[in-house]
Amino acid sequence: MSAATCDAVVVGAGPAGLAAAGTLTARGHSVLLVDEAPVPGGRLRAQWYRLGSAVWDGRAEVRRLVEGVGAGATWRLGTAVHAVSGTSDEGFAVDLGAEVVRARTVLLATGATEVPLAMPGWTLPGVLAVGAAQTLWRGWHMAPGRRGVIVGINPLGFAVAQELADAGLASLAVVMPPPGLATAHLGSVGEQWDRLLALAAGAPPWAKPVAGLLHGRPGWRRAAMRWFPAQGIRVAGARLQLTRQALALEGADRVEAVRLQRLDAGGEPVGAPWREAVDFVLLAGGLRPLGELLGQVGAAMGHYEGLGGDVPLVTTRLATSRPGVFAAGNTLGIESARVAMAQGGLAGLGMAAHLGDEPPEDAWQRARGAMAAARRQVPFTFQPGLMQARAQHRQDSAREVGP
Amino acid sequence: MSAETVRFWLDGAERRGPAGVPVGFVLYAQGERILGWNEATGAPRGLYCGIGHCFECRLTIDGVRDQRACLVPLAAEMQLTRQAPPPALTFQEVP
Repeated sequence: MSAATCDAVVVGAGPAGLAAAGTLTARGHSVLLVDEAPVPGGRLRAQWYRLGSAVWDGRAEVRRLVEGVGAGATWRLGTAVHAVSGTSDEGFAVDLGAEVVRARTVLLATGATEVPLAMPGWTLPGVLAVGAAQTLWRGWHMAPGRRGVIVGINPLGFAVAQELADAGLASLAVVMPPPGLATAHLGSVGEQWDRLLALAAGAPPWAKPVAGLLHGRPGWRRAAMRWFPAQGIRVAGARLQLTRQALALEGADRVEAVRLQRLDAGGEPVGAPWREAVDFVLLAGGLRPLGELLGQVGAAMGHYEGLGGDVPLVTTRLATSRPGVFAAGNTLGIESARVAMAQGGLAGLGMAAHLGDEPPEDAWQRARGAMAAARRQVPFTFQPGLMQARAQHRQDSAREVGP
Repeated sequence: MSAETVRFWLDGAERRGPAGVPVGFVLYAQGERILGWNEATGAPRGLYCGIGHCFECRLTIDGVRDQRACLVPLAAEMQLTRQAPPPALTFQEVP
């Protein structure tokens, strides 16, 4: 196959894109896989956690998925997509900068991005997005530093804290972000506490100490916070300090200290701020679906807090409102890598059907079964209200883009 | 780390590091937190998102400006150069 024209261009070689590419090549379609990163796998490469007695090893999953893609695909790693234009009928033009590729279908599997916590001092060297620390450690066996703080309460932060604790990195504290950030979805301190409790109710591995604190009764938040130990509680190998707030990150030409503020049971500041020395800071602002290319092709979108933000409306075959453009993975909402893989499988079948190669009913049934199984096996939910948001998204999608 | 150790250059100084690892991560692990300076303010910047989204880790690599260090794998004899802050910008009031 020539890279200049192919049946499908898959943008994003993470779990969703790789699964879709494997589904398409298995049915004999030519695929071009594009990813900005120099290696395939996306964020899945950096995932490693215990699932009951088993281990979820992201690297092994990536190897398996790449084998599944086989020789039927052309790769463009280390390559950014600048633009997608055209239609399915005339052929899409996918601009890769150095070349323009034509395709009859396009999968946008661009994943997610981290929401920045744009607090004072956040651009200092040594301040990392929490996912970068995960890639440093899990991807390349490099420690982010010796003494650090995670600012922001969310599941990715706890996952990274657990990994760094397992690696023997001491003195990691998790504290609240400062007030008044432009990231409006954070809400007040009280709302962030409530969100943490709602997540803990889903019983992820880190949540036990948090759930115990509240006796499973979110209404007890105020009482629980009155008795919350000032030094924090041990969660996922880190000290979770819910009554401490980071006001600013400080340092001359790299981060050297964090300015902290004590909070009372109502989330209001109490006492004078003080400084603690650190040599790295991880910002955990949560994940948002990445959808610039969806906007560029004009796909119909909807906003769902439970899915992490703006996502495309899609048919049950994961076709967007633009004929021939499909979406899968975290760009459809923040869920686990396993769900992303299942979505990729489904989108791959949808793209094959769009190319005139309608898969048999049992292939669809297997793909839908894989999706249901993936949703049952989630290690933790990223957003409270995920399932309700997914149901609303399904309903809106059926109305706007069809079944 | 099983990667082969190769020689590279940072601002003309000889270094060694694991081939194949993105240079932004290699430099972070070697204690090089500053990768450049903001064009408008001159403030130091370094590795931040690690996935090519934030553009804060831009280096000149083998003569090509503005390469994202978190996405470019280290290769033997690579020339990495931190981009000097430009001469002070002057802003004019727009009436």
